[in-house]
Amino acid sequence: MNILFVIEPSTATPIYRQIVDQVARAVAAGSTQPGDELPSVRAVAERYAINPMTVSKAYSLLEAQGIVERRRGMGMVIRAAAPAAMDTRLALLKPAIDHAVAVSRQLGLTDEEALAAMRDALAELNAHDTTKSAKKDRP
Amino acid sequence: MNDTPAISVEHLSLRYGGVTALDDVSFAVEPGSVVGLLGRNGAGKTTLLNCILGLTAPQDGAARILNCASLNLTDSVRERLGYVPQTPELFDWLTVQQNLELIGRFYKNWSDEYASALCARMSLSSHANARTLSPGERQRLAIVQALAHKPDLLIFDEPVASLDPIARRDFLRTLFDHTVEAGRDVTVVLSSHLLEDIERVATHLLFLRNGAVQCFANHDEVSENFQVVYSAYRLDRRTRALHTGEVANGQWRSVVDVRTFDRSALHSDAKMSRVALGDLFEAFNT
Repeated sequence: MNILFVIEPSTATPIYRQIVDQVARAVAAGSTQPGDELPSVRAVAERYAINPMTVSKAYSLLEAQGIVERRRGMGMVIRAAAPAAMDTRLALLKPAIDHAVAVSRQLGLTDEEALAAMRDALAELNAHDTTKSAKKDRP
Repeated sequence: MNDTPAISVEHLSLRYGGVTALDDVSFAVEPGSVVGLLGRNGAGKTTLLNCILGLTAPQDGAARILNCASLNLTDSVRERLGYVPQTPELFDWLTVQQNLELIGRFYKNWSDEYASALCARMSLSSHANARTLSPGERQRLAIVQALAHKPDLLIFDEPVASLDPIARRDFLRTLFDHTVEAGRDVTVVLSSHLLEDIERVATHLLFLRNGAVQCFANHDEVSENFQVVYSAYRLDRRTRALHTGEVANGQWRSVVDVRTFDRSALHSDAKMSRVALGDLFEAFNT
């Protein structure tokens, strides 16, 4: 598996936390397969010019959470076979929702207007996905 | 693992004329830490590094590195030390290669092979004359000189000030080359105004202001447990020199920023939790 992390140093979220969240999200979304290998600590540190200890810390935390396991000779592999439970997925979505809610308040939108915007965005994404798969199906 | 701190500093004080360069500075750095040294111009960063290296004698207190008094470093400790000063001193009449060879003679563990690999990584031509190097290239050569003997303790005084963004990333990567390889605890102290670089690599942060330590803490702890409180008054005079636990308030440690105080918030101080390092740096220096 080729996870590409998005590492943003100048935010309030520590880098180890960014890595943990991104792997957890990928697993919850089902975009990884059990047995998929995480890139090595050294490769991640080298790629993003970050401290290898930070990557180790993130991987150890993912291991403690049961999301990955250490396999001899392979490094870290994705463990969870079943897609994450609904409440886990919702918990992962919560920070993004909280942010969107705060912004809609700042903009003075009503609850209905904010919900409509969310529905529109989902509809747009669904339409996009449909066109993409339709194109793929064409010979 | 070794329990002896890689650096220990106790009650360092130094005054020049009427200026306090260091004010009762104490802290200890565990082996394997990467310490980001932060402070405004004139905060005392270079003086502190010079005292740690034994280049400047304090009026009070003492520093030790690798379990050896800084003012009395043994040759064996010097061999385990790498240092890049703010303004690198090179042998201007020699080429890059000759500069490296000359410095290499002083170190038992010097590796010509590793020095060449570092030069390649830092895009440094070994045939260039030192006199013709740009400030950034001089800094890169000084970095290669500090790393090619694979030291246990690295001290960098604004090593990236003249480096372009790609060279800065390459520099950050080289810091961990021999750590990962040898599985050794390499300790690094790095002063820089480029907070993004510090955020990428630092395990610990040391905030210095007017020669005094405001805060010395684990980087992740700072990101997760510090909040900035915007207030007309400092909660505590001691927040000017914040040490672990001193202004602890449940999970949060508060850093008071008096600049953007809004009078309407007199009874409910506005709080900003989980702040980015840049905001924290400003709050520490208001």
